[in-house]
Amino acid sequence: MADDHELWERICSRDANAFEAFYCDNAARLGAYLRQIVGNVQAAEDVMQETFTQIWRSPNGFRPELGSLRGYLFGIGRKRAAEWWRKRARDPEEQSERHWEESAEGTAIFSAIGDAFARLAEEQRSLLWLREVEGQSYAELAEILQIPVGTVKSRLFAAREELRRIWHSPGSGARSKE
Amino acid sequence: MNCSEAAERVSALFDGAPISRDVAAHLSDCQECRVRLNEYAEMGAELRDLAGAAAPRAIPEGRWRLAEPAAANNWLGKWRGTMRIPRLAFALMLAALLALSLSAGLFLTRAKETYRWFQYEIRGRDEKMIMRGAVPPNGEGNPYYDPGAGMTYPDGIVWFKVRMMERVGDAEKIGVRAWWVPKGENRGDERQVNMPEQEFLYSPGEELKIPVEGYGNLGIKGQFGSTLPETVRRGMYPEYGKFRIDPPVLLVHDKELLGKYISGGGELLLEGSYFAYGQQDQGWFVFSSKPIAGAVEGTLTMNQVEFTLDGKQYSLFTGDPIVFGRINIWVKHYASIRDADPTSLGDGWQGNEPRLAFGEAKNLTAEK
Repeated sequence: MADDHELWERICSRDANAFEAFYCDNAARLGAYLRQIVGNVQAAEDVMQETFTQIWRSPNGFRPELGSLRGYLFGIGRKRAAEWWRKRARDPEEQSERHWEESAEGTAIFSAIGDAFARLAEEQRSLLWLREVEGQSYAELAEILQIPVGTVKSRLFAAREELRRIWHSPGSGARSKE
Repeated sequence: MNCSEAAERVSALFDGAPISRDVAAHLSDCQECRVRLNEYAEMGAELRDLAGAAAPRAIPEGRWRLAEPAAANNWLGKWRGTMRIPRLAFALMLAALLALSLSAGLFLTRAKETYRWFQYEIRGRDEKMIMRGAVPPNGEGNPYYDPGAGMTYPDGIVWFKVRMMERVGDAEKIGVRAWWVPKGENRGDERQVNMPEQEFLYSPGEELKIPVEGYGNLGIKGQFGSTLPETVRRGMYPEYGKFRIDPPVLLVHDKELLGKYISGGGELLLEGSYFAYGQQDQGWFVFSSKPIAGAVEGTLTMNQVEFTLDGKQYSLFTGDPIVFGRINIWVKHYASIRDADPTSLGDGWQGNEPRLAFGEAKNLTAEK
């Protein structure tokens, strides 16, 4: 995309205004995505800051021909989130750390789909969120998740079926079949 | 073609991929696959709705700049790289180092003589419970304590935010913002922002009905409690009238990290108590919300204490806010750990690890 390419050029040339605009356009959406992936408001914000900081410090790796700048941003965010999970798995203190389920404003989100979605595996949450909410194409998902396009298709199907199964499961606090 | 063969292609169809003639034929004959397709659409719509709810409403411009570590503070990057730091603490710490203003939007913390929790249940129009919890009185408007939720129904979502404001006699004054978003409409953040807060007086034992236009009534029931149940998670901020010291605790002098304490923390009353940070080469720093002999006055803002000793600027940072807001604090410095022992352990303190101590000011050990 020409716009993405131009914006990227400006970011690479250390144009702070361009980066600021990039941040403002994407931070809320990236934050919402990361929150679903790490399941923790504060950690999601930390990962988001690290993601933007990484891009600002080392703006490289974006290839316009492979996808959008937002897709690239989400790809880095996902890698950072994966690092967060790895670090957390290694550190018993982190595992026992308090979790903040509420949003930044203290709002807990209770919904049937949210409850079911939270029970999916991390990769399935990531995939579904990027597809359903962010509207990423198969090619962009393949780029973000570093998997072949055919695999995107089959994994999306598996994720949808799993979400549907949990959504319908009795006692899930989610949805039961009418 | 059977359902299991067609199912994955139904998923692809939902994503806009072309399908073959035989899949189309199967879909037209198969109720199960049509339900599958519809439910994919429904789940997608619900997820997008959830996304609207989960997205932060406002991102302050330029906040990303706070993530830029100061070049002169290598310890900071290392620390940040190895520990999970609450965003707020990190932002405040960097803000201090960058000498940014932090004064806006903070409230004064007041000690409360009697401290009580309000345990509540919120029920929907169908009498089913939406959420329950326990919150402290929140007259100062600490947003973290406000319970709120969005509850999805087949015809829309009811959103609400409830503030337990203060105790009035035997009743609890409650502020409520609630609104209904019918299915298919945008969530309407503007509606939330512009929604006036309604105030109610709630007497424990009764059920308060809160009318929500287009939805029906939300019901709130609750009771006062003097002790927070163990099952209730602590909030990000300490209780009113208390200090809370959570590691890591950092002592910083003029951008130089003097020491880092990483073991356990503690919580204690603001009134009549002290907490102290000590390390072998720096001595003890004793902090109190009331003046103590020989102490200098400093400020405690959220998770950072700032004070000046002998013309030198010091800061003490903690992992979570020590108080909500900003108070004056008195700092007494014992240059040598041999001059005082706030721990009163008398164990000789082997090793170089910093220590924390807590206690009542009246028992503070006099200078040796």
